[in-house]
Amino acid sequence: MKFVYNCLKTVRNFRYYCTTQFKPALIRDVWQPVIGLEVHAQILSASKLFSRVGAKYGAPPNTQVGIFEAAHPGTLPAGYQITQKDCPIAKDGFISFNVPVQEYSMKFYSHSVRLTQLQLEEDSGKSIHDAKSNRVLVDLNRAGLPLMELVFAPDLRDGEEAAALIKELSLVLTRVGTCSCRMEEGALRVDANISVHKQGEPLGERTEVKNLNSIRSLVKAINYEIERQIDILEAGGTVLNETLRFDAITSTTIKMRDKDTIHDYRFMPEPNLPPLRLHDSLDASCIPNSSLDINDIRKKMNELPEETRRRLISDYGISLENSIILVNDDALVDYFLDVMSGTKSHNGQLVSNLLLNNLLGTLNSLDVDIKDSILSPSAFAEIVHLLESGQILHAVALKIMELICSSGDKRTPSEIVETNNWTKLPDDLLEDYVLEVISSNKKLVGKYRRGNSKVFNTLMGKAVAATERRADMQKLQDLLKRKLDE
Amino acid sequence: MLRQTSRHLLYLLRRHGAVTSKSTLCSTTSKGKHSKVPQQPLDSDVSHDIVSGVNIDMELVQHLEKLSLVDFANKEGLTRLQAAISFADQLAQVDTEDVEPMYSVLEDRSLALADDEVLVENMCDDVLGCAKETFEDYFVVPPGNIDYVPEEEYYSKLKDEGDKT
Repeated sequence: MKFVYNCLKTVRNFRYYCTTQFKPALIRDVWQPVIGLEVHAQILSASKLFSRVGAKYGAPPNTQVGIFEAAHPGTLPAGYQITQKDCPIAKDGFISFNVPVQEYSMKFYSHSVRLTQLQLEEDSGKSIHDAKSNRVLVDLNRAGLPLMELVFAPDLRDGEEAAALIKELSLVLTRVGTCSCRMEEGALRVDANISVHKQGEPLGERTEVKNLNSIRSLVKAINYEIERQIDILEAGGTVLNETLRFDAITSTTIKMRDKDTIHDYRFMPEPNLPPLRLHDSLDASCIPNSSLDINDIRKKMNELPEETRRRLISDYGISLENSIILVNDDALVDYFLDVMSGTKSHNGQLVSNLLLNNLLGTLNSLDVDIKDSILSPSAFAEIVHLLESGQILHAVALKIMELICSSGDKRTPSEIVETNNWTKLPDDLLEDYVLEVISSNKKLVGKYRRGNSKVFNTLMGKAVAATERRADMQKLQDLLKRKLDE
Repeated sequence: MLRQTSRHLLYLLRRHGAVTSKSTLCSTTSKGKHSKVPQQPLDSDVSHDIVSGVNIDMELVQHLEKLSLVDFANKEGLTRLQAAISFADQLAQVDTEDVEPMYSVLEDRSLALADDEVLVENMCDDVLGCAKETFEDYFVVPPGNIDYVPEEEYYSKLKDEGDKT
């Protein structure tokens, strides 16, 4: 795909909040994909929506089932799920998120998707088809678990945007503490509605892809389905409004068995539930006659990811890209803030670069998580201080990190520097070393001065060795060149 | 639809003076209970000559047969279907302009919320106790809906029959 980068804001703005607008290119120059997601997020609660049994993941079959959801005689018959479809708890919202320009890219643009409605729903039980004995086994543990259904408008344009939306949604929900967002456990289920059309023409027929249980399969399924629909339309066929599932092995979308799909969903209001009323004590026009004050919840809410990113950028001067990576992991943010409070440094960008580019890399290769980092934030702060005060080279900072993390060196960074004699050579001493190298390598110097420029590298090597690798490389090189050319 | 008709019922009763604005459907006087429900049938304002908005075509019939597993695609069956739809269509004559649907007669109260705590532990034996058949703590049920596939000539035969009658 070719990208036309339409940067509508100045570069100065781009450095701060992400306000860059961008539209992914049309496929084969004419086709506009349209994607809308429906997300079912399991609410992180101890019990179920209408019954006080447990809600733990992986409990033995039918051990988390109460009278209500088992629908024993005397209670209402199950066979329907209670949902808020017509009168949802919230409507007309939106969510903004950052999208990488390309997969794994460090350049982002901002996009926003309308959240049409958010409603409460009951989950259904699980059935396992036993093919051998031609029967079905039913486990009602999941029946009645509380779900939030989030219905997004079809404002997404490709798989990458869908992935970015789900990632931001997961960050928000885990921050707020209402969903674990573990897709592999089924805590977050995403269905994608996909269609394509040519610009100026009406929206195309859509298909629904269900059972996407990871972000990777979400992206693959969307991209595959877009191509599949375009191939059909370009060959003159029609796209059928079907329900599909994504097969991870073949990486294709496959029609679901009719048995799984023809649900003639009948929605009826539940006459036995009085209305759920909420009020907002901050809103003067709101009558406080309800079960719950929204403002109580609002006051207790944690800072949202976007607020954190903006705070890191404005308070510590780090780049947008670094703020995005930091905020992806709460432990990283905590580590960064610990370091910044422990150091006199005001260079947040330097600290975040060292953290993200170097420490994380080292920890990843050792398969260690940041919260278990052997290099403590205070030791890290010490390294930063040594680096910023010019006492060590950048390369030495990395060496110290490596030593402490890989070899479990118990000394403090300052001790390591001192015992290994790794302090940086003061710049004013460099001239002596350079002159020494020149005077002891007259042959090579002669060759260089007669026009053999390749010899420079050898001379540089000698200078580096003479300074025991403790000199600022760039300054050493410049100085050597200057002295040679004199 | 049903909650709109219960509102409409109240409106009809008020119109006929059976219910005053402050009273409910039943009141107690010193003489005992006095029902507000009319003792004689009221005149119906509903017209019976309605053109149904639903078009009963072959596709709809096939879909309904597949869902219900009832074969009714004959003259009598279709007439009954049409009559049932027309009967239900009478509801459309009720003017519900600006009338909020009633979901529950308890609409003046608010739903009570419970604390999120687990009060009931493992009830597995009680829950499975009524089941006809269980296997390793699962309920055993017959496999899902039989996927009904009509014989190949079924619909063309029907069409021929339809043309003849």
